Amino acid sequence: MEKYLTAMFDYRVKKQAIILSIIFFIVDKLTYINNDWYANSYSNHIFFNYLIVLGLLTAIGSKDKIDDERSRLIRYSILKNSIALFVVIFGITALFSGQFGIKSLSMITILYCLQGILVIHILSLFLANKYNPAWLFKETTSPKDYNNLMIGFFYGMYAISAFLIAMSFFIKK
Amino acid sequence: MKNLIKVERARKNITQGDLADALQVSRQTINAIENAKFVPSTVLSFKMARYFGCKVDELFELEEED
Repeated sequence: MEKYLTAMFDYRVKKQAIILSIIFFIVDKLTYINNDWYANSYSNHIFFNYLIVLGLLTAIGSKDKIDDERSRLIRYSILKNSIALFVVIFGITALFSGQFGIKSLSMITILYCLQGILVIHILSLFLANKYNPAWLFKETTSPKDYNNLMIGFFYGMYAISAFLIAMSFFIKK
Repeated sequence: MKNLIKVERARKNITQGDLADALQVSRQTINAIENAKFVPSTVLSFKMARYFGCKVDELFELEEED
């Protein structure tokens, strides 16, 4: 079990990856505001946001300074939550794309979704390591709850998709 | 699961940090085990028992709900 929960990178990489992501974020925002050429070049904007995601992914793939069985279990539990959160947020974004000021689903929307989830993931890891919330270590609750959550989510999405398809036929006629 | 790590630690007059260093885990891990939030692996339980010079079942005790 431990073999599968081991992180990819050394603990020193974590700080460096977070710092690089912050630098990329600041540079991207400053350049986007101040530079017309950059603002018009969509691929540059996507590339910088891809680098931010890469930095955050590297940070979550890094070990803790003392990487023991508790920190591995925390890492696994938080990863499970983050994947579920990503599926839900991405599903909602896909559903409401083009409405409520959300741009239609594009590469940049996906990157923004990923960045949000990864930032929440890193903060959750930090807080869980510091405060040891008991629910993270409970083994009995999670599998059933997650199964129900995911099945409920997919059925909800199927139902909404079926409704939208039916509506499109109705509107055409 | 109940445990007597705090008692054994007091008997040996060592801190959570000392025990963590000896077992090569973090201080937060010892704290989580002492407060019965986290159940350690078999390997870590045996390491603890060996460190305190007792048996594993003298250090940990099953409760009715376990």
